[in-house]
Amino acid sequence: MAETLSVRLLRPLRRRAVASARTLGRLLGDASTLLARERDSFRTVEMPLSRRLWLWRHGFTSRSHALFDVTPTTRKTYLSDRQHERANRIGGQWDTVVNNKLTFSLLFGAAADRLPPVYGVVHEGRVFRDYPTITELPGDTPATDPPGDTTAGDGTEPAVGAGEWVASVLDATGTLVLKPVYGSGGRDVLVCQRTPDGYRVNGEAVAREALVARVAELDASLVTGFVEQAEYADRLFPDATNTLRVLTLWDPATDAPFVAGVVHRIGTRQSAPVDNWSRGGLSAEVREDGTLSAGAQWLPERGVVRWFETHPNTGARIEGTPVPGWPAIREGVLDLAETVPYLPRLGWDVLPTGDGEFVVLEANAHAATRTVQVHRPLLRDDRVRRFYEHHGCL
Amino acid sequence: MSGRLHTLGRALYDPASALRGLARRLSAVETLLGREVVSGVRLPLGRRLSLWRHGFTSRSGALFGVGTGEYDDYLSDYRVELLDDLGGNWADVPANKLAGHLWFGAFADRLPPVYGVVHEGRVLREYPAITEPPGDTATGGTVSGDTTAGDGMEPAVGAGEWVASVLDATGALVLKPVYGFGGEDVHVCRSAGDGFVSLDGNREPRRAFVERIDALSATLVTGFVEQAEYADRLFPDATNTLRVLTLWDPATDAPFVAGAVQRIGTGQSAPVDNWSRGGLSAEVAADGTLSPAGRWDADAGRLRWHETHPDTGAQVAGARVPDWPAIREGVLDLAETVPALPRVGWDVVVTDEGFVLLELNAHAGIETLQIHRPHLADPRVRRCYEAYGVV
Repeated sequence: MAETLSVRLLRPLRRRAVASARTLGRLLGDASTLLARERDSFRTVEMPLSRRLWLWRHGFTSRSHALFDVTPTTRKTYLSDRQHERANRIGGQWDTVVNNKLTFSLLFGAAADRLPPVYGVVHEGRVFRDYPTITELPGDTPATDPPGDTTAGDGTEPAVGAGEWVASVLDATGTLVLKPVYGSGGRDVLVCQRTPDGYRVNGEAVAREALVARVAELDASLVTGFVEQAEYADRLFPDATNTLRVLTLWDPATDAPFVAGVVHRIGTRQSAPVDNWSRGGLSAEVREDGTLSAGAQWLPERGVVRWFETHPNTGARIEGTPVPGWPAIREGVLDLAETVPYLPRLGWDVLPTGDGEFVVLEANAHAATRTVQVHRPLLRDDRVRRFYEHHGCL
Repeated sequence: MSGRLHTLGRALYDPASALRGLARRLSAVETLLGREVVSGVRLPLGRRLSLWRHGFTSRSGALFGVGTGEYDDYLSDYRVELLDDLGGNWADVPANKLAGHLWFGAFADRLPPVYGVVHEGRVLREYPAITEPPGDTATGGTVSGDTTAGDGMEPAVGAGEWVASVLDATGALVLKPVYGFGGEDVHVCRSAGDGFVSLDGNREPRRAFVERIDALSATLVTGFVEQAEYADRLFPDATNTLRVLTLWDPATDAPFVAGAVQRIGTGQSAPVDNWSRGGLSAEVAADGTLSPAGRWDADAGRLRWHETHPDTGAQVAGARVPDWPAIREGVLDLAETVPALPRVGWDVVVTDEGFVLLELNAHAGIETLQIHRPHLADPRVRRCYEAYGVV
């Protein structure tokens, strides 16, 4: 091998430089995330400086003070913010497949009855439907083609743009949910309804032209069917889709997934039409017997957690309410988790639709653990601790 | 100066985002530095400094022969690194070959059959756009624990046994890591009879093959695609693919082909044709005719040109890709469905029926194209990169 001397001499140096740059990059990435989180809660969560420094030293940000009961004796039972960031590297690059809501629906497309229907993707005025798991359009939806192209898909009808197309699908289905392909925390989700006298977007009446114009401007958004939630969930809070967040971990000892924690998210007037905790939704733990605990609500601007036995807006009973068919739902989610061993840690957003029936709205490879840990420290469970140890996070 | 003030201001106002920006720049410098150190290219220091100043590594200097006054016509290594941000998160999707396959699953006749994914001894087949293996293939299950077959009729077997039985039924298979790059760990398997399997041309006992498969992580099990005769004549021991680079033109709001090369395997690169493994690159002209082929001679640190194939002696320069205009249109039809990715390198294999998409690459390299001509000399191509913000 005619390798120059300089190449041979420099190779170990290069390897070290690359490794250090990578480690530094990772540390900077983690630090920036924690720093951003700290900036959000530093001012709102009040505590003595010594307590704050103690939390930081042990990898917790300020908001942990309000959310969890972290003390010198309990701190090792909580997954800290720093450990959580390390855990975000579990599964490597596969997270990119579930983070994209289109490829998520393709990855689990073989379990079509567990997913909401996907009618297409709209992107900058165009409609895209060339995917293997796309749902048949109802009735007489007009053909679509890119603007400027004058031929319709089947050559028989005039083509329309994304806005007109969505409006006509909405006319046929009555309800649709538009979700950014890349989105989190329920941001920019549009729940669209056809009413007898017009259209509603997130509950607000809009004219058809306004709806069309709004859709035409969207970047890569999934057009999905609206799935009716189970009756008990509707009773809790009817103006949001109230989902279960099921955290599954792949147990290295049994080589199978298990449910490490599950909470019921319940929307509030603040969070509607979604149920996200970060937008003011509640989190109630689903206990072993399938009944709910009291619901916790995080008030970021005041830096405190409030607890509710009944829903603050509807007055519906939360504490003690059963999730009908919870064992069947748990098994169903585990069946899905078993098909993706390369994603050993997933937070599933599960919408119960009936007794033991459900659809998965999305899965998150970087699932936050605070909605679970606000009820119970995660690492108190030996299996959970073993998982995070196995992946070098503790 | 105002740029620097802005950066400083941002660091004070938004330290998290400033840290992220710094991490990204570090990663780009790390990549270029790494490439520079191992390039093995001998150039005078003055020339090296000039290349570096213009964002080129020494290797590019040797490959493109870019000289003073021409720097601007070439897409530099630094600019290529900046392109990594193009397409945002979407660019990560095709890096996963399973996701890439599912994404284009509606174009079934443009894809190779995918029989399943093997992962740590398991067979995973619960995906859309999955192909049923022919004949009486054993039911894939898991190596440990699960004893029930998918349909409850036959005993389940582990990944290795399953792949071996699919191989018995199909005669040839290709194994590809779901995350892989540059043809690394791609294996062509063929039945060799008498309890033997041929792996990249080497006979090995079936038992060893089964154990090898059981140890694999996330690997796609795909059918072997027979290439068209012209490609087989060039070099029969590799799948010789076209690399077609499409760019989304913001002016017309449609994709176009910014360059295409025929990659041709060699004894060194077989069973793949990758440039980084010693494969050849010949430019495809508008009428489908091939130019002479370039090849990077790593030992000498320089580019060599071949009118004929160095191993088979087949004529490369002047050979023709059959029906190239139709292939180009077919690739553009695919590109039109992914406007989120403005720049894509498509690896397609020409078959007797048309072409099959082996994979697509959102971080397509530029070397195989740019050895033939400066990429930015075409005004339309330059306009695109200007719009992407890298030129």
